[in-house]
Amino acid sequence: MNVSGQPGVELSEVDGLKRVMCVEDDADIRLVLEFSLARLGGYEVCVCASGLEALERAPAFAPELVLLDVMMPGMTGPQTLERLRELPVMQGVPVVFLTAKAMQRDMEDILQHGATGVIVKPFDPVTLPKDILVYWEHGRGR
Amino acid sequence: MTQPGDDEAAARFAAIEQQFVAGLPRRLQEIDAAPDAQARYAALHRLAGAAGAFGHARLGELARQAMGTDAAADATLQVLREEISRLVDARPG
Repeated sequence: MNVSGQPGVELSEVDGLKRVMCVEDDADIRLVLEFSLARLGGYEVCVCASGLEALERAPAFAPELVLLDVMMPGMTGPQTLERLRELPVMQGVPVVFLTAKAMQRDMEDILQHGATGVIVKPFDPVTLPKDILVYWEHGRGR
Repeated sequence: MTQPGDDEAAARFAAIEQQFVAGLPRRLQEIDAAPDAQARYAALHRLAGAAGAFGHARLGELARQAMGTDAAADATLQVLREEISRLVDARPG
C-alpha cells in the first residue's frame, strides 16, 4: 500500500468539505481513519469511540459528513444515527455507514435507517478522503 | 492529497501499522476468551475490518472465515493464529 498519496492539493481546499466526524469502536481503525482523513485528506476530523461520544461532541463540532460504524457495542450505528438526527446541527448532514464485507447482505436494511451510503470495510486509507466526497455531494443534492 | 514521496506520512502509517501488529496477540486473547459466540463474532469482525485497512488482506480474510460457528471456522481460527504469530515474529526490531 502506497500511503505517500498522489499529487494534488488538499481535497478540503477544493471541494468545500471541511469537518468529518468518524464513529468507530476499534482503536486501530480510529487511528487509520484519523491518519487518512486528517493527514492525507486535510480535513478537520473528530474521532469518536462510541455513539454516545458522537452525540456529545456533534453539537460543538458541527460535522458536514459523518462516517459511522454499524456494529458497535452499546449503541449500534443505526441507533446512533437515529439519535444524531434529533440534533438540530445534524439536519441534512450526510451519514455514511462503515460496514464489513460480511454484512453487505444487510445493506438494504442499513440504508433504510436513513444513511446516505455505505462504505465497505476494509477501506483504502489512501483513497478514502476522495471516496467520501461522492456521499457529501449526494447529501447536498448536487 | 499528500505530495509523492512524503516520507513523514509513510513513516506515520508504518508506526500505526506496527502498533496494530503489536496488538494482535491481545486481539487473539479477546477472541479466545469470548464468553459466547456473539462476542467472538464481534472480536473477529473488528479484526477483519482493521486488518484490511492496514493492507493485511490474508489476515482479514481469515478473520472473516473464522466468524462462522462450524468446524471449518474453528480450523480457520488455527490458521489465523499461525498468521498472527508470523506477523508478530516478522516485526522489525
